[in-house]
Amino acid sequence: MGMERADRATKKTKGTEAAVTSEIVAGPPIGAESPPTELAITLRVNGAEHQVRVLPGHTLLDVLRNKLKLRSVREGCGIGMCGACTVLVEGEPISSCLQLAWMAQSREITTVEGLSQDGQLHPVQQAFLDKTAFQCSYCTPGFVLATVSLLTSIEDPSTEQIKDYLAGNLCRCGSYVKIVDAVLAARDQGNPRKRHSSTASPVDERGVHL
Amino acid sequence: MTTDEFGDRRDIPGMIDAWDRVTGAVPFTINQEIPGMLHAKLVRSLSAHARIAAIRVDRARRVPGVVTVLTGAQLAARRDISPYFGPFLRDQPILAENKVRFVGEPVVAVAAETIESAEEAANLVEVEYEDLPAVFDPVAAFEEGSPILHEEPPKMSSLFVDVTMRNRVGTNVANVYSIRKGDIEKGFAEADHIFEDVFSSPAVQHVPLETHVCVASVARGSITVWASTQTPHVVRAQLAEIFGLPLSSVRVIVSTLGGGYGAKTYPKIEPVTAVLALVAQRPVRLHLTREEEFVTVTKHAATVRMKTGLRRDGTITARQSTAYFNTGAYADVGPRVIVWGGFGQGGPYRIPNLFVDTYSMYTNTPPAGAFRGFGINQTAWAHEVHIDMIAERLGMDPLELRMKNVLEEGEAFATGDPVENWHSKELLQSVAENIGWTYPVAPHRNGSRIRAKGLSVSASRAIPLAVSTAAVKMNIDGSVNVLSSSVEMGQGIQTALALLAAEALTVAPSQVHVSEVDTDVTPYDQQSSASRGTYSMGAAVQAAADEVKGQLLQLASEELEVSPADLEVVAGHVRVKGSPDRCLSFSEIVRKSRSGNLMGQGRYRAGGALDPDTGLSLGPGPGHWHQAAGAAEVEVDIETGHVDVLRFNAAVFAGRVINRVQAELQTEGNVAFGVSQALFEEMVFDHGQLQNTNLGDYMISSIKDMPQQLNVTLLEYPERSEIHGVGETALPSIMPAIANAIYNATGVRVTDLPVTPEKVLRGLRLNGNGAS
Repeated sequence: MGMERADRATKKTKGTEAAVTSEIVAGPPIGAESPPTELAITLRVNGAEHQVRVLPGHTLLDVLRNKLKLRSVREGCGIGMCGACTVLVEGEPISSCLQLAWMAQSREITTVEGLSQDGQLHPVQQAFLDKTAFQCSYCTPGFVLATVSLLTSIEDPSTEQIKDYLAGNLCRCGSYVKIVDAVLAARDQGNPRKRHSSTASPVDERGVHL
Repeated sequence: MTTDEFGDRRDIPGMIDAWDRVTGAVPFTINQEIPGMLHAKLVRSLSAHARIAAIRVDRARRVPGVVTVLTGAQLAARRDISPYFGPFLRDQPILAENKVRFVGEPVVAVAAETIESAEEAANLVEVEYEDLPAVFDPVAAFEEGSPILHEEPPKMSSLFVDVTMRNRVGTNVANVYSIRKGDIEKGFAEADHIFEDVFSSPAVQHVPLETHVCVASVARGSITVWASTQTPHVVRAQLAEIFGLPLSSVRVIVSTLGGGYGAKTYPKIEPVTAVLALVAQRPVRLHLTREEEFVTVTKHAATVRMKTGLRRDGTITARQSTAYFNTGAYADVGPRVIVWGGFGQGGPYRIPNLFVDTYSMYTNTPPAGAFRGFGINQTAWAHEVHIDMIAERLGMDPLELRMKNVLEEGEAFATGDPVENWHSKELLQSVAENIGWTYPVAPHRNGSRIRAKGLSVSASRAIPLAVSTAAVKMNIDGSVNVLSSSVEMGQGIQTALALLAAEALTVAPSQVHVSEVDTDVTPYDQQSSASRGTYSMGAAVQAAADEVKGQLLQLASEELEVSPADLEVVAGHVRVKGSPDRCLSFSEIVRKSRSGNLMGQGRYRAGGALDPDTGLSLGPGPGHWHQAAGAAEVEVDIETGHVDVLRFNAAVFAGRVINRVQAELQTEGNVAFGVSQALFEEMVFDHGQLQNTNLGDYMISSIKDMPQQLNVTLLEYPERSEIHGVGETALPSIMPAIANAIYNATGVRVTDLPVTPEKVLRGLRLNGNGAS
């Protein structure tokens, strides 16, 4: 329930916390009196490099959505509780509303826009489509990415494991029954890693398209 | 011939734009941008009830990038603006004028080149408040001597004819709805038992994951807004009133919504965005944060005092019931919610003598509005827990007590009109069988965990006097455009309308495109709410398609020189009966007749007006009765008070299902909503200040809170061809079914939602059978 969800959200952001402690020395001046100055950073998103100018306080969500116009990345709560803004950083799902953009430099970021290739849906997207595992679909990109991560990190997950893993993504329309169906279908179709290693579409070790 | 026979209906995915939905390409209004657009931020009241003594905006204006800083007083001084809105009472100021009435009320609006500048400026606005006594509880607000929120009579809005306004100027009563049916004294005299209980439910949040967003552009006497609204034509009408413009000069464009659930009905942020655009002479965008969303609209908290008289055998003879709905600081749609909250106190039951008073009460809390279930949640919570309590007092099976008293076909609803297509008994029977209901209840204990089951049944009435219109265009290639103002918000209305148009015209669904909403183009629809889209707009689309079909037959008859009566429409063609080779495709008909395109229009009008004095129907009802039953099996841990909903059976009357997967999804979604409201949702206020303003402090159901087993029954009578919306039908029955199951497991009777672990443990302690 609620507590478990909070734990999950915390777990999701652990990577971010680690990044804070390890990289803060290289970051922008903090607590300076002058107005915040823009930083020029390079983000690696969906296999392409983007030079963008950001404020130190800009979140990854701000930059992906508003500067790079990746509209699948959507704010739902602003505090890492709902999962609507989930993106993969180095294959790990994180809440992009909690990640400062400059801290994501030099990491491989994946949004749903980077999943489908050459007019072909990613198997997880295809499963969500086949099962109609959505209503308004505002949360769908977050669920799809969390599922991609789930299926690459847990082999043959049980229904309980699926629910545990996806507890940090909220669907207010309540399409949960069909979301579980879709994840099970994607699982039974084979682990995306294995599936993709036998196709022409290149994927990295986390099952993400390169 | 139907499209099923045509062969490709099964190829249509659950939603026509499913591809866009899984690729993140759906064009939500949050994506809308216009060149030169400014960003808005609102300064909100810190006081629940106060005179505004002073507003200082100098520092805010000096922030680089700030274009406009606007106060209520400035708006009031303008002659080109009427700065109040509201669908029934125009009581809500676009920006607070002399006083504020709830914590979070917009007081000052800032528009700036960047959102950062707007936020910085908003933080620098200083407002001095002189606090006034405030009232937060709807029952306290009714008492004499209560602080009064609105001293002056508000302007009325003439948008709707279905609700009689009986607001009491100089009190906190925004509206009253009463039912006087039969003879209440005689009814209680006939009773062997009279039971009275009080029930309450709190304000909760809709939590559409997409918060309210609006982009407005004002130019030379015309306004365009891109809005996340379920009621584009109401927003258009209210902006026209505010700006003194004809409807034709106000354009409201709505793409798909990221959830609505009632939150996005009626104007909310569109007026302030539009006046900012007017004053700044630049397009303006306003997108609420989650914290702002929490103080923009809520579900009505309500207190219901219900007294029911029954004969020894369990037959209900009379009910007297009073409900106070907390409408918050501004009326919004509260005056209509209490009509549903009024007849909702009769429930789906046969009650010959019914005496109901329901009040929409102003208090110093955020405005309450439409919420999925619309007044029936609060009242079904009351009558379904009440009836279980009565069954126990009478020593009766609560299923039997319900079966004895639920309405049957043709009997009089609370409003007096006869119910049609009524299936309460069948729905109850279905969920009881599915859950394995037995009486006496046999709780199953395993260590500290106890399992038991609970039931409920609910019903609602459709919006009377509502109108939907649609247009259908057939193009020269035989493809079809449907123009409709129904708002797609995940309920699948565009898919349903495409399927209905395809079916009526015998074309493939892939040949049909359903428009987005643009009030410059798409015909009038009252609103996308109340589970009315599929049947109401659906009927309008069918009528429009039939008109096109008539034109096709007429034109083909001229071309083929055959009477229309000798022609038939088959799979995108018109052909001579008995001579299948004498045949024209739709495309050939449009082309040969040099019609350019064919156009049909259709309209659906609901009946069902209510008498303002007795609250009773003046004629046949609006039809389309929403009916549901629910059965829950829960497991309660008596050491922690934690409740798991193990199984839920939700049954709704669905008439003829148009899109099965969507009907299932909507009903499953109702269960997600219901479990959440049964067990943890509650907005907690301290002297009007909301304490849980975000999704960290305010819990909504996650995938783990869903019942392990969820059965949805869509009760169909397809041969009657009646189409039923199911967007909110199941919801009111879910909370009481769960609470009744918790009682049957633990003996803890909770009458105020939500049923939290704390309440369960407290009840166990009071009963003396809790874990030590």
